Amino acid sequence: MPYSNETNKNIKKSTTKKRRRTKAVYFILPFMLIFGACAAYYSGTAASNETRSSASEPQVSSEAQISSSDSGITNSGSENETESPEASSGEPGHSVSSEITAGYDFSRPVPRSAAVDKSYFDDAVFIGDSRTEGFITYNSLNNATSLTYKGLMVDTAFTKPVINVNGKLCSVMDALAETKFSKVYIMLGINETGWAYSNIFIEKYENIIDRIREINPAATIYIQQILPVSQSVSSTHKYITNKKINEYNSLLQKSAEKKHVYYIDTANAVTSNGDPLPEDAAFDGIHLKKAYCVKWFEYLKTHTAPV
Amino acid sequence: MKKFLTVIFIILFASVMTGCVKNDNISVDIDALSKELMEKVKFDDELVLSDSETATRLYGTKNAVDCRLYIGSGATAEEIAVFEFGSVSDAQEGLKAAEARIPEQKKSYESYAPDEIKRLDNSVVKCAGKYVAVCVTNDKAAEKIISEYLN
Repeated sequence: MPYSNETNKNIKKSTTKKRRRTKAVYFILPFMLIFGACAAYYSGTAASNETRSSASEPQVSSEAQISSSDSGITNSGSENETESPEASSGEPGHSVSSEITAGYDFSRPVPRSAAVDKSYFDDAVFIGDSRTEGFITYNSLNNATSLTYKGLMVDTAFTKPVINVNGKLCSVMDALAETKFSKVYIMLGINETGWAYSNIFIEKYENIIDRIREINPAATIYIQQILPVSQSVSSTHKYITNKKINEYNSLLQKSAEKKHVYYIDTANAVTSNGDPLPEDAAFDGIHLKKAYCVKWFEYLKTHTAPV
Repeated sequence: MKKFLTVIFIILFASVMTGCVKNDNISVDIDALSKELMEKVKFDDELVLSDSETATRLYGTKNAVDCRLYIGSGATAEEIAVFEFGSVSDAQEGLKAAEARIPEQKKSYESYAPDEIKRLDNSVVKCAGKYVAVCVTNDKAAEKIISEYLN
């Protein structure tokens, strides 16, 4: 006797369900068996895996590391005072101890001194652009604080949020306010060589010095001469020329005298007699190769402020 | 036909699973990998070997047990970084840090040297097991070399 339509439907549903269960078993069971076999095989051979080629000694630096992105940047506050700050003149911002600077001629570059070692820079901050970034990296100056950024300028040092401090981006000068330091090296200017007015550049540069003095009145401040570029860059670039760089450096030297900060003739580290940067000193005539960054560092080690 | 397809499916699935398990136990000589990249990849800038603390500072990779970092003058974004971590999970964190560096570098170069954006777009960032490798270059040889070591 043939089944009714309803019964046929129920039988069809039941058969379909059985087929689905069978298919599920078909998929899952073999997969579990293979997975289990693989897991057992690889856990058993994990200790005897061979390397691709011979192993070499790991290279680990023993130097301590402090950087602008380090979450350990602390508030400078009153911890940065190393001497009782006394004004050496009536001009505002002159808080370097008069005992140290008495008789020092700020109009002249820092003279050659006994070489210091790398630890001298433990409490140093470097403010600069991409050239200083390269200087820090090539010299592995991880013990100093690097407040550097590609394209940084004397105005964007206050405004552009590029330094990571405890997970938050802030400007270079704001990051400095959160840093413990006793000396600051500044090299800025090459990115501003296209500015129309040199006095604006100097005015904003001096704002940086004033702000450093507000944050830490006793800090030793070094203005670094802007390094020259190669002749091929100077003669072809739209605005980066050694003529402009030299003009800025003359103005910076006068600022150093005015503000009673130290001026380092850093260019002598990599060239002489006011010559352009050697053509083989930089990949693009601007950014120094490692060998020249090392010369730069050696120059800073042998040109430190009197104590 | 259905049975045949099912068997094929199972075999493929098993192959995928064995690949994942094998990857976690990979062992790589990071010195050899980084040197091969230096020798065979064409770089415009002069890359020099830096130290592990600089690598940690630039990449934020705090749990690396060993690394090799080759960096340039800053004129270009070219770079090689190879890390070995203590565990697969640490390597995953390291991978995130390495991947995060690319857009950071793009941001710093976009107004400074816009040509470097294309180089950063072509960068290779790979992770296998406890290892992470990064190479910023326009040369396609880098991906091939890294894939041979980290597969």
